[in-house]
Amino acid sequence: AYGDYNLSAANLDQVDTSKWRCRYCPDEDGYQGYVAARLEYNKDGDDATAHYQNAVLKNDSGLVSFDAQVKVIEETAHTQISAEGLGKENASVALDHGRPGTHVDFDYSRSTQFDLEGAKSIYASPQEEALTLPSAWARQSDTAAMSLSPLTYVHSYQQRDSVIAGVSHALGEGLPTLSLTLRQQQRSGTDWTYGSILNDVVALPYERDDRIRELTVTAEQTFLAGEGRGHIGAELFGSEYENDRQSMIWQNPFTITLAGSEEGQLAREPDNRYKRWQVYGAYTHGAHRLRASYSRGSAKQQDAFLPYTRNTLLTTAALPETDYAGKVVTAHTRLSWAYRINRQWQVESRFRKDQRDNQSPKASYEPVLTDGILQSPVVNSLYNHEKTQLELDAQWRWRAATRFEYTYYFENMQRSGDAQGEADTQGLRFQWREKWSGHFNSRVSILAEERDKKRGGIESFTAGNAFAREFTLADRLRNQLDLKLGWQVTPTFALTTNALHRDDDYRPAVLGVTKAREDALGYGASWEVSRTMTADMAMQRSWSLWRMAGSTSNNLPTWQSSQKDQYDVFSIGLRHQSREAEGIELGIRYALVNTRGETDVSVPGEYHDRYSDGHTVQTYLDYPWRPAWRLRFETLYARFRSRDPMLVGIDAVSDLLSNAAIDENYSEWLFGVRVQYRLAER
Amino acid sequence: PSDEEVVTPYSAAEIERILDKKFADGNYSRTGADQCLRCHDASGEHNAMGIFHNVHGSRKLPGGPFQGLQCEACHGPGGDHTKPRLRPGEQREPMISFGSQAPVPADKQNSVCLSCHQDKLDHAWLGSAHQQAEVPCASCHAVHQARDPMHSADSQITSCGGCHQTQHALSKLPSNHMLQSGQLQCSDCHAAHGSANQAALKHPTTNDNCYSCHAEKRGPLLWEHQPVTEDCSTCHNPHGSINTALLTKRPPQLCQSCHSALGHPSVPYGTNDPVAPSALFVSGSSCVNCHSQVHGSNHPSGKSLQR
Repeated sequence: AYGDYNLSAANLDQVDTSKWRCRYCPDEDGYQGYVAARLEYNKDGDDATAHYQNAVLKNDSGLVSFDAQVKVIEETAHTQISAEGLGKENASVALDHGRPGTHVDFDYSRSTQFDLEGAKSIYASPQEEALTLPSAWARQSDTAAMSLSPLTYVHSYQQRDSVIAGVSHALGEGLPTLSLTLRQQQRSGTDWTYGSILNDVVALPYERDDRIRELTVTAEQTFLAGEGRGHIGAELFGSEYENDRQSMIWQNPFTITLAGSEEGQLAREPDNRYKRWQVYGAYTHGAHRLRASYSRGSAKQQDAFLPYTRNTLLTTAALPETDYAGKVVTAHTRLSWAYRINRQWQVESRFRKDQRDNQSPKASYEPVLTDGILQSPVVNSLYNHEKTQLELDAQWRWRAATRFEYTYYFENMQRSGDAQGEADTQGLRFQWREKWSGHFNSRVSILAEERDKKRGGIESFTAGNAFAREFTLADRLRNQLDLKLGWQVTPTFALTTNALHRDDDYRPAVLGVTKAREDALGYGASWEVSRTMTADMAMQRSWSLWRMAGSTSNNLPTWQSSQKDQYDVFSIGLRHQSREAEGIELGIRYALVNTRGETDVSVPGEYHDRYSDGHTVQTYLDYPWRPAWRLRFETLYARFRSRDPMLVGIDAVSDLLSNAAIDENYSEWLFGVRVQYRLAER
Repeated sequence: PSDEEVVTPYSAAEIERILDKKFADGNYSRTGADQCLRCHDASGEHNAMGIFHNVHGSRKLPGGPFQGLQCEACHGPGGDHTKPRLRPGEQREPMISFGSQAPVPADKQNSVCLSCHQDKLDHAWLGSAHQQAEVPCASCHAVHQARDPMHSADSQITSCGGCHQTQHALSKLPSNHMLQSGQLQCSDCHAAHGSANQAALKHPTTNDNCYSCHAEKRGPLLWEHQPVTEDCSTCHNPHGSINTALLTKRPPQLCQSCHSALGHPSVPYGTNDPVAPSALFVSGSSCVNCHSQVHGSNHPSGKSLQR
């Protein structure tokens, strides 16, 4: 039933292909390639209005970049080298080489992820240590003075340099295939965080300089056994994280209210190492398939501790250890069995188990809160969990056009260690797929799920203190309805619709989240205008609501709040693609993205709503200029407005200081011209 | 054609029946691709020449289609489809076609692809979400195009987004995971051909997937934040969000879904409410103003995740 048109079973001996010439097939031997240069200019009409300015692209700039590709095919091997965007902030270089039994590839890419070309801070620039305040900002207690003083521009961006190198080699007939992949990501640039000293909070830019290295080694083999075939493998995965910035120190920009608490210090993420081994296998026999895997990993770190505080006027206890020999062991088990009984029925069962065991040492620490207050000793908490999932699935094709699917799933989540808790979740999903005709089909999915909290509570905290409930274990009843429709109106015009309604009821909870709801509606259309021209349109709208209750005394609710979010995404485009390889290509696309976020706490002094409105229009024309040459013209227009609550610094004692919003309002144009020359093929 | 010559299209059931017979008979053509490409060349209605720009059309690929039965390696025996002339009103015998609009059931279409792709892919496919949803391989992969859309980040999101429309829309929101700019692609996290993990993730858990790029969050840290150790998606929506940092909701309410508001009022400044008001708690990044090390802290004074 699974191998209906299994062509590997075709007996080639009965087919005489010796006279098949394939005169239409191109001659592959030789090389082919191209080089291209691209000139682009960005016109940025930045018009930010608040304390913060955020321009994703640099103001009024032009640059030249280059692309190239060469592909060489020899008798038994192929090699491709390509480069894209050389000269730009986002660039990549790739090498791909293959020969029978062996494959080698290498990729380098550099991408700038975020660029705040006008972000302002009270700090002049990100430093590894001791961010120094401009003199005008030191110890300002006057709100007006701080607000009126100029903020300092900070060039803020994050860059990721990524290298992936891999090789795989088949040892031979009946022997395993070995593969090795090395991946390194280096992050640099600037990021933001907040620092707090007692009542003072300030936004801090900081330098990021870290690396992630991953090594994956696998050995796997397919085999025939009995009347079936199988696949087994073993994998060793290692990851190493190195951070060159172990701490960050900053000065309090406001009036010091506690003696000596002038500087704060954050611990940055410590280096860590992780290794995991995995064995896996699968066996397929007829319409049965068994699959199993088990993996076990351990994560470690041992970075030296920072002092409790930099406040020299406080006498602190000695640290129990000079570093933290942290160790977490994880284990994952997977089992599944699928059986295609016949063309009408298919059943499957899946079992998963994930465990986390924190074996780090526990000790008593005497923290210094907000760099000014000594706190009584406290022991660090260790969190463990074990998640077990079982899924049973049955599909029934009632008739050619009608198919039903039933899925039952069960999940048990247990927390142990310093956070005890347990919840069972059970769900039943029903799906109905119907092909009403050759032109119209539908899919309905109904889900009912119940989560039942068996036990909970944080041992390390007294009731009614920091934790009021276990939100992720709390009782919850979820109902969800999904609907998808597809209509091939004409052979060249198709419509799709999707709708979603989800309702989460957290009763009997009276504190925390009590209700959540999400609705979404989407439409899509695609039209093959002609054999060379296509048009498409997509629209998606989503609404969500979150209701919660809070209490001043941690028992009966004394206030209610809600968050209402909405977004609209719309795009429409037209594309012409020539049937000839060297023909004209052109396209135009308009996209609209609107978002709204509203927080309501039912009292005066509402939260600011957050919103964003974005419009983009993108066009391109790519045509053969002359033999072997192509020209491409591109334009991009973007218009963006948004408001997002943000702050630069706050001194809560003397009231709000320098509160601000990322309030963007900009438009920009990008023009690009690309000329490509095709290398003469050999 | 005149009225008398109107051709009645085959029904889906007829096509399937004819193809079953053709595949069983094995009546292959006499000249292979040359016979097919007389009609399916660049000027034909169903231009198939794009295959020669990718690996499936290479005669160098060991065991590849063009080292054997060429076009018929995938489309099956040509049979009477290659007849040079048709009688008036006669319909050309069908060949198997691939894709979501093709009349042949997805499993039968996919059995052709799986004839060669008998590695890990084969073992993962049966029982995978896409197999259960009867997604034909050709819904995503384009064998007759020079560049398979699934092998390019910008076209992959469009292909996947055709069905996963909500995720596609989320990826366009202001706080996103750079899927639209091609810096990340769906297949960086998901194994579309099947995975034993939830949501067809490549690594065993959601967190393990996130650690691939955010390894600094792996720890272990002296002061852990329990939900962070369990599931990143408790607070973050990896596909996109209207909130900063891909947060599912905004603080302080997001934090207060677990933490009590006692002593940390969530009502904004400027009110007379007894639980009000401190700008420190609610403006800007709210709770994260002070508890900035929300993913955990390795500072000996970081118990409250402020250091």
